[in-house]
Amino acid sequence: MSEPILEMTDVSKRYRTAGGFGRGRKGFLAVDGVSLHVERGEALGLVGESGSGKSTLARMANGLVVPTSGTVRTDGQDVARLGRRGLRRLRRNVAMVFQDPLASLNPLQTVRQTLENVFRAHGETTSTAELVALLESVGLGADYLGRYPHEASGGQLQRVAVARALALKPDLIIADEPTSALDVSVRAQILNLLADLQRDQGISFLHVSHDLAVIRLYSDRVAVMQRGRIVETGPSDEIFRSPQHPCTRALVEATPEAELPA
Amino acid sequence: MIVYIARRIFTAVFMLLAIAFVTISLFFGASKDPARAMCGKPCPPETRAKVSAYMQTDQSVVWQYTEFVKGLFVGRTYGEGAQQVHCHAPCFGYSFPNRSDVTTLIAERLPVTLSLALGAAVLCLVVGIGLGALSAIRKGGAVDRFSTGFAMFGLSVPTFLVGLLVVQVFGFMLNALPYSGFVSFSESPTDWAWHLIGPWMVLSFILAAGYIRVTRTQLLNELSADHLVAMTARGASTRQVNRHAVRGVMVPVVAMFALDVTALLGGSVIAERVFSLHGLGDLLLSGVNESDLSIVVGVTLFSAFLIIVGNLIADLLMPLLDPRIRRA
Amino acid sequence: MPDPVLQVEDLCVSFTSGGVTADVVRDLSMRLDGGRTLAVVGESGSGKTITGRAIMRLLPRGASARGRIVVAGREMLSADERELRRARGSDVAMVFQDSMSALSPYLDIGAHIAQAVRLHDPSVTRRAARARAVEMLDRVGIPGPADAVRRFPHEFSGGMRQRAVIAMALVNRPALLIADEPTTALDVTVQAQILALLRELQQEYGMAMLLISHDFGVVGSAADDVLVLYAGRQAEYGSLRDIFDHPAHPYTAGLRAATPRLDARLDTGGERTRLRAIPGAPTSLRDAGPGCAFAPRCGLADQVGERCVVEAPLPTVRPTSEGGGLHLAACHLDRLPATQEVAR
Ligand SMILES: Nc1ncnc2c1ncn2[C@@H]1O[C@H](COP(=O)(O)OP(=O)(O)OP(=O)(O)O)[C@@H](O)[C@H]1O
Ligand SMILES: Nc1ncnc2c1ncn2[C@@H]1O[C@H](COP(=O)(O)OP(=O)(O)O)[C@@H](O)[C@H]1O
Ligand code: SF4
Ligand SMILES: [Mg+2]
Ligand SMILES: [Mg+2]
Repeated sequence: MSEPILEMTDVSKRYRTAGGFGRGRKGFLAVDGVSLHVERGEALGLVGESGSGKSTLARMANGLVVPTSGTVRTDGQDVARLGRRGLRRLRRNVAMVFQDPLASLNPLQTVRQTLENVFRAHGETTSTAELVALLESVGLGADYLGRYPHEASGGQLQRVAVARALALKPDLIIADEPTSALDVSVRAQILNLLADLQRDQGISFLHVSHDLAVIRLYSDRVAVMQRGRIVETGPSDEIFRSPQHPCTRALVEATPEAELPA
Repeated sequence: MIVYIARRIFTAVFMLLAIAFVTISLFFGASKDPARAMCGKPCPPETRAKVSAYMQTDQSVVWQYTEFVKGLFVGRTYGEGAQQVHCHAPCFGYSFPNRSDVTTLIAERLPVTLSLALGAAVLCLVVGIGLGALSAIRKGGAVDRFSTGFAMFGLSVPTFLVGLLVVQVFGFMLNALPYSGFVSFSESPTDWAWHLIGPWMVLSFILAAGYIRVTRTQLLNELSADHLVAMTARGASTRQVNRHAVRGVMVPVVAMFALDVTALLGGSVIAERVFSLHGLGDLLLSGVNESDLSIVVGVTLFSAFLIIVGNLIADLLMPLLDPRIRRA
Repeated sequence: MPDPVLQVEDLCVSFTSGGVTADVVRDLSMRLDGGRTLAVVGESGSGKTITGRAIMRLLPRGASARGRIVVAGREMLSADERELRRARGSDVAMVFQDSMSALSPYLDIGAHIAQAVRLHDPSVTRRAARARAVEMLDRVGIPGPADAVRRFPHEFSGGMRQRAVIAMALVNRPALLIADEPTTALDVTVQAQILALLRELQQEYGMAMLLISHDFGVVGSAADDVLVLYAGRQAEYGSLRDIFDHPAHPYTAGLRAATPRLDARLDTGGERTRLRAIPGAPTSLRDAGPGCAFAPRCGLADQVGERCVVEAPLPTVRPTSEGGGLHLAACHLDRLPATQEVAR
């Protein structure tokens, strides 16, 4: 089997906190000795309650957050040893999709400018035909090229954000709650789009969510986080059929069913 | 909380000492020796050295700085024997051309400037908050349109123009107000106010604009804020809700006022000039004209002291108004 | 039949801005009895919040409501300011989605609850009101209530704050509670606790609850009846069972199929199932044409044809399962095809 696209070994992150009250002078340990990997072509779901460290952990994969200790190997490279240029090359390969599409897009740029900037940032040029093809791959028409973010709905914007992530043909996409801000009827569109990308283009996913039902449907394996640690991991079917850790069990039991109790 | 207060006070004291150092090195360190002006036209070098030594301007900046700070607490003595003068604590320096310590000079002028600044502050707060609140409550109404226009005008017109305008309109044309002069409060409170109405209007005219804006926007935000909707949902009356909304407005107003202490003092200098009042600004200008560095430094530092104390008061008031600061 | 706690007839809400008046909610009717929960479900902009606010006569500037709203026997739309004040807080209370902004940052938790008590009954002393606050915080499960009354909103976690807001809303035992997305901002585990608390207090007090939500999961675990809103209009109304098992409106069926379920993969033998998404994005009443607002997204509009685009469907009675009450759907189709009904 080939090397995992992402491999984290015993990583920790301690945030320095202002003032030094309450949490103690040592700062706040957001991620505490976590090891985790994502195979190529796999979708790994990361679940856990708010503040458990999911976003922090996900952002270490492409060097947005620098771990206090431990190693992160992404696409076979040790992220800590990459220089500025190395990091940039890495970030071509590892794209991100955030929760709030409106906040993650520059309101002063058209969709075309947003997409072109991605290419330009990596010293590449692009053609209109390429951009149109890119938009079509996320289910948007060519007429979106000229639109500004406020001229599109949340779901459409999230498609643009996905298009931006896809522009440089990444191997790994980190999706941090990509559908939490979307309407229910639109949520499924984006989730299906991401699932198609995984199936058709073999892109790997690190999918952060607090919605267990979403994770269950759209990821192969699941890691459950609690207070900075991974307390349980395994194939998603197994985890949700027979959760072992009390934290996982609590999460499963709390998830309301869109189904009548029999 | 105690840490907060201690930190604010510490910062204030530190700021004062730093400003004093910068001011003293700028004026006594870098400029012409003031002794030259004192020593008269034919000024042989040895006389000048004597005068310099007497005025203590021949010493290093650091020495002068320490002497100055010491003088603030214990007073300071210049020269010796028959020519000895003593400057009592708090000593802000000694003005040789005026043969008086700067503290006395400041004390003479302070009532004018304080009357001016405090009165203008009260007037501009009353007018600014009042108009701002009225425009927010009746958004789009006549008051709103008037005060929005007023704020626009006040923010864009230079102070001296407003001053001249007020002098023209009220002083000459209506022949109603005195356009210069000062009567102390203890002498006759009505005359005191009567003479100051003009400058008060000039000063507050400019500052009120900001308060109209802040009050209006903040109150509009507050009035549609969820917690006030929630209060209405609990059965509170419009009056009760409005009264509560005022709290949310006070925080930015106090913060803004702290910044405006500076503008108020700066504006006083101009207003004093326009209305021929003899306040601190006038003293400062005469100090500059007569190259009397002691006065310049003394008044500058005293003003800095006022500003920093104003800010300190605001800093200490904020946590009382907003528990989020109190319990951060 | 006892008098309902809440009765709404043909409610329309419109906004006027720049001389233009447009409806955002049109022809809503509902009925809610004591002890029961009616869920109002819809996507963003469908008019859920506006409806809830209209019932309390708490509409934002520029909005006006027509129709009829009766809360505990009181006509809300014709009530004067004094009557409204009496109704708010004691007949009908509200819980908001964002507990942080629903609480004043300048008052401690106790002051909020005490204020609610004294607004309702001015004869209660300050001390007695604060004592009630402690009692109430204890009742909603806040540990150390005597201490908690002196805390400020920002010192509470989201779940605690929502408990405090519930305490504040229920301290005068209103006949009707309007809960506008009370758990949306919370973690799943906390969400389940808050829903359980609401259900428990509802039973204890016998109050009616209007539960506003966009989440079928929340609705399924808390509601008796469901009103599905689409673009400011009633798409479907019925008992929870009818809505869940026999949806009669394509939008309801579509929403159900688009909502992920935790148990969904167990019966598929490991094969990955996908959600069936509704194409397009939700619209508002303002942007809807003369026909059915759902038509641009509806897979069944073709079967009906022209009519869907030119004529807005009115709610008509649909078959109910045994024991179910009224079941209404606003769709030109009499029956959904079987494939649509079996969502997955
Ligand atoms: N820049 C920072 N400085 C200090 N503490 C931080 C910082 N960023 C995050 N934290 C803290 O680290 C912890 C983990 O944060 P993180 O954002 O990873 O959580 P999360 O699991 O993604 O939560 P959510 O589900 O709410 O998004 C939290 O307690 C948070 O308060
Ligand atoms: N203050 C307002 N001014 C103008 N239109 C508004 C205002 N508030 C809400 N609306 C409109 O009313 C409709 C319903 O809004 P709302 O009830 O908040 O929806 P929901 O709660 O279902 O997300 C939307 O189309 C929205 O644009
Ligand atoms: S009326 Fe027509 S468009 Fe509307 S939901 Fe029914 S079938 Fe679809
Ligand atoms: Mg996060
Ligand atoms: Mg809403």
